[in-house]
Amino acid sequence: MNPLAVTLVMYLCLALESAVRTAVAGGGVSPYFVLPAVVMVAMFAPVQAALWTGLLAGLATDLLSVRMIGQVASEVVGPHALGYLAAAYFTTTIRGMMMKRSIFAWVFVAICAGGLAQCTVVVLMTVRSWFDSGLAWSVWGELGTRLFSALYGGAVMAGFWLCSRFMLPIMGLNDQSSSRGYGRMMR
Amino acid sequence: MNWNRVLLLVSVGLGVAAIAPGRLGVGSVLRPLRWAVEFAVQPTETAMNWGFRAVLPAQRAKGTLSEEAAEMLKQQLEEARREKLSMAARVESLQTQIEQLTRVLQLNPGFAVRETTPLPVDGIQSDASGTLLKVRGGSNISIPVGSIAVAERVHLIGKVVATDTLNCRVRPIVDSGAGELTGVIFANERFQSDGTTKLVQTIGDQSRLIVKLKPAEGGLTLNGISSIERGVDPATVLVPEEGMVVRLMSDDWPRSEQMLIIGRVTRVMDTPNGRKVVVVTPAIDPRRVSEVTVRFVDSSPAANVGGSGGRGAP
Repeated sequence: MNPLAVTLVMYLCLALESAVRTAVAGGGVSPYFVLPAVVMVAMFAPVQAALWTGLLAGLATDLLSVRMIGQVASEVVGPHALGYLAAAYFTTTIRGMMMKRSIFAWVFVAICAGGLAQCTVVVLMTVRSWFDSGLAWSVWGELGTRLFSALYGGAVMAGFWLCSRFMLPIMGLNDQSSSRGYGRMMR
Repeated sequence: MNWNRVLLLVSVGLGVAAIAPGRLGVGSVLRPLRWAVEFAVQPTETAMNWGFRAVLPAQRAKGTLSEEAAEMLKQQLEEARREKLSMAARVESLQTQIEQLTRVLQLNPGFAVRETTPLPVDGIQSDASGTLLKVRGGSNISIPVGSIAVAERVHLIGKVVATDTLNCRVRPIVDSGAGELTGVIFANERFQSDGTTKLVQTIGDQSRLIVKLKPAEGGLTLNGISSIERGVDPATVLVPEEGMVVRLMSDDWPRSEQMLIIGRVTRVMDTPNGRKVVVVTPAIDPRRVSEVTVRFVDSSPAANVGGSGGRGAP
């Protein structure tokens, strides 16, 4: 895996996600870009690298999403980091069983991993809302919005599949690079 | 270094930070890190935003409407306003009618007065004795000679002097052939303003002044001269003023029509013998009225059983 190229892709996805959220959705359902990128990396990268990629990409997402707690804008660090870590772990676990050349496999994994990540975020934030009375949090509203956004993530993943022929070599990702770690252990 | 163990420790730390309440200040410790990430991402995000703005159609802010919808809503609002004003005017008109009918009933209790619906005035006819109004409605709706024509239910217009099957002729009170009238002016009653038919009544002074009225030349006004009633101290007699209301109080007019409004005092003059001369102008010009209501005492047996109250003509 080429860490520099992966960081660059993550950086671009992070900027794109913020821009699209502002331009298209205005705060409602909007596609995720970082999460499909994490899933894509987790499909091919060594397990250790895949998990760290998920954690750091999630941490960056946390740092960019400021929440109003009471009347104060505060950083809530952790939910996305752990959610994306869970998505990366899920992907590295099932990647041995999937046909990596199929677009449907990519989309399916992206939606499942996205759903898992968003459920993790919702669970953590819900637990936090029990202790933090100033946090405005609607469990079902957030869960619905995030799961629909995860479906959008499937479409983004299809886009990544189309670009995979030139993206994967640049990022140093291929089937051989995933032949170490858990994927190998599972086989 | 065991990276798996580090990852586990970092994950546990982030898990604690994720659920730790804001007052513990975990977020504020990481604020510089947030600024760094924002600083790094902001330029690219801004550039992408510009790109989106150039490619995508302009997004409306949440809660705003398209131009077509806004235009449609504006039209609906205007329509609603117009309807509201129309309804308000209708309500006001009905209120005025109720007020007038109530006043008529108060003025003439005990008379079985029949009243037609408002009848159109077809025009003015002149004959040797003066000017007559031709009103659409005659013996076909049982209007007898001697009936009284009023406008807006209480403003005296004139007396029916001739009828045929379909029409009747009304001689306006300002016509030179109409003869004399006796009117009364009350101290506590005057018109709200010039050009209106609405009255304002005050509580208190109950004094009054009797005036003998005669049509003036030109047929627009009536000239009146005040007379002092028997037994009344001349010092306490009401001094007429402009805007006061003159009501009918003539013995030679039907009792049921007493206290109808003749008009407004528009001018007051003194005479050498201490009397006052008043010029009275009808609040509704009899020669320009477009419709009148004709009132007459119902002599049918059915009407007399009921006692009082006006009824519409068939």
